[in-house]
Amino acid sequence: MNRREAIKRTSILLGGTLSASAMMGVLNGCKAEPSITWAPEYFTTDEGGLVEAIVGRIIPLTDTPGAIEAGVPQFIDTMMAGFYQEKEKNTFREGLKKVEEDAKAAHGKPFAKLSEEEQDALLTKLDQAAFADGVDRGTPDFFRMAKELTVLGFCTSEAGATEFLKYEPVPGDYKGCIPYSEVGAAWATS
Amino acid sequence: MSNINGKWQQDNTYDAIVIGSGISGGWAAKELSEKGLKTLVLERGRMVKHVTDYPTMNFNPWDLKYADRVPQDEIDKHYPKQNRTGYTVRQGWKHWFVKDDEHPYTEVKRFDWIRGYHVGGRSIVWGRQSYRWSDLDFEANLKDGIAVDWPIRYKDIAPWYDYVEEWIGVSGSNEGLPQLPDGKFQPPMEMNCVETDLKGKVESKFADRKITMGRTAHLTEPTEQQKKLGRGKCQFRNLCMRGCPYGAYFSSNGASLIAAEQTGNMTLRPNSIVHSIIYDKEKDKATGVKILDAESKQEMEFYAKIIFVNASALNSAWILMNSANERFPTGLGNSSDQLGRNVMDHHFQVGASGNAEGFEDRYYSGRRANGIYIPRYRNVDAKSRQKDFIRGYGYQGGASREGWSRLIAEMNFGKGMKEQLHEPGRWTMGINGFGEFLPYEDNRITLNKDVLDMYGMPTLTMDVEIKENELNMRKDMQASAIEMLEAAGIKDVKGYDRNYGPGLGIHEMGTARMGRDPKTSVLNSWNQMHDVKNVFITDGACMTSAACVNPSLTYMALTARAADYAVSELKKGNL
Repeated sequence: MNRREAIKRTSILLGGTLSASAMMGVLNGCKAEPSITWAPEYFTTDEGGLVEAIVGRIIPLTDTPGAIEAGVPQFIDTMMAGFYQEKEKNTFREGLKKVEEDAKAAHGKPFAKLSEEEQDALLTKLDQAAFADGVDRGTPDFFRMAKELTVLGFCTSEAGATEFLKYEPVPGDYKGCIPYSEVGAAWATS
Repeated sequence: MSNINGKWQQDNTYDAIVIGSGISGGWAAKELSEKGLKTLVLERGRMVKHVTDYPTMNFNPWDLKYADRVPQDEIDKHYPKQNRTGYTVRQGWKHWFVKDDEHPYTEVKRFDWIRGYHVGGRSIVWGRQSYRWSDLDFEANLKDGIAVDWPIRYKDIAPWYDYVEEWIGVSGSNEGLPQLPDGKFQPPMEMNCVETDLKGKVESKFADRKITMGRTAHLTEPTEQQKKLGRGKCQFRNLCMRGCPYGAYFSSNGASLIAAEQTGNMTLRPNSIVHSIIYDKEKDKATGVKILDAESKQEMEFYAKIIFVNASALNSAWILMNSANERFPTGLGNSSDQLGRNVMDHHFQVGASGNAEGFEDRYYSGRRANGIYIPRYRNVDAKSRQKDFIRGYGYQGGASREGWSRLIAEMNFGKGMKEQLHEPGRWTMGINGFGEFLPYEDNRITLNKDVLDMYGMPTLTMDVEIKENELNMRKDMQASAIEMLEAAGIKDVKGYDRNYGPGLGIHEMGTARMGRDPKTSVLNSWNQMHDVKNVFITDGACMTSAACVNPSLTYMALTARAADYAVSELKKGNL
């Protein structure tokens, strides 16, 4: 199954791309047990649920699709299954474990069951540790990987490129100097 | 395209054999077959048919596995050298590059040999920048007293530049510069706001500088002849390296091989690895070519009156070296001992970039696979003479607005980052120098019989480096780039000199140079071997010096010129 099929299949299962996350937004604070509607190739179901919860906060659903709606969790699963080598996979898996431990230590609940505010507070700590001035960015880091994969997966997804960014498969012409308002969003591809 | 159909078994004799189907081989095939010669084109790699064999040409970003990235273990196993460019090994086009484990070579010093073995060769993935040489280039060796003099001057090649440019289609603008002659161009692509602004400022502050639109082999206004071949206008997708379904940029597959095919005189034979050129001592001529069929593993021989060697600079030299015989013990036609020497490239990956302010409300539409060009301004006259180096360089560059990838390494996530992702970032402007690489006799490749390829054939050993002139030039390339961008008001200008290794420019040249004297050169003024008159070499191997401009246009012009000469000599009974 390629990524496009995976995303399509997911949206069929969800009965429309936005419903599940939109509901999560409404039900903020009283979430059900994390469960995912896709079958991970690399992650366990629990890990898949945690990945969803994390990437959903990195690029949340707004009036445009977020990372979950764009199929980013499936993208990350595919990358773990076939792209990364052991060392990177371990970094990611250990990172997920740590997020879960931190959530339980701070709030006594799994990360996916925390409120958005609680989730964001935990992720902010990771973000600051990963990207603060003076941090050695050459060493593998869970949150840097998670963020890179979320941005990459989102911006190269069909939903991210066409419903959030601007994508034109066959421009036909090049105009070198036009008002930004005529485009209205960053181009998905360069 | 007429694939092999068994006809050769009855008759394996042709008028001409062309070895290689890349940018110069495709031209040799077209010219020779259009002039009525039954022409056999031997290509070592697989068949690639225009459009139908471009598997990723219409892929969207989400159709590419792993977001276009290739796993590190696959790179380590198959592409450790091909990946040195940083852009060749991608899901979208890795199939156009060889696997290093199948095609090894030995590096005395680092040498980046980036290749594609298939019909069309690197003409599918070339940079398409197309510039003429001038007499500044053709006279340079003579004036500087280095290497040997070119046996031709601009007037000899000018009509062939006209012919090639009109046929392949080059978009660009004429500037009236003696060091970068005007051409027969289709309308230039547009500059964007920042590039136009830079042009105005640089040209007003530096009387000796010009900024022009890159001259590129893309159709912007196709001719009737080009339309008839099935070629169309550039669609600004910037997916050229995947192969163009519109035939909008020039490639062998999309143009010259189609024209050759239409004559009915060409036989294209893929999977035909040339082993050597067969030489007849009595006739003092080459009589044919010995190949290994990559599929059947059978050795075969094909015969012809003339042979064009267009296997790319290093492989053409390899074929000649591997064709050594009693008469030519170090390689066919190597009485000068110049075969495999004088390896050149263009040295680059040095320049500067920064941010442009004042155009935050402006953007562009379309993806232009082209940039601006700053023609050479050093050592073009007495006034521009440099004390630390001879020859010169040009810059290729461009401006664009940063995209989503800028946020990957920034602190921030959530709704705030999503809002930033939605907007384009700053305008950035960069220029990258391409410098002339002098011919040095000790920059050479040799035949290595200890390391064999997957077919059991000898391989190459590379011993090539940049020397003092190039290193001094690079300092000026960086300093001058910084100076120009700063003078034009670009902010946060940073110079760079990245890790360049010979070959990285993918402009290998010089291994069988042209010259006036058979004692010091391999080829004469018609790309004809001094020693073996019915063998012509018209790829990068023939180059006597490198100039600082992209070389493919010159290979094509020299090929058309040599083919014209070869056919006329053949008709006169001289070959």
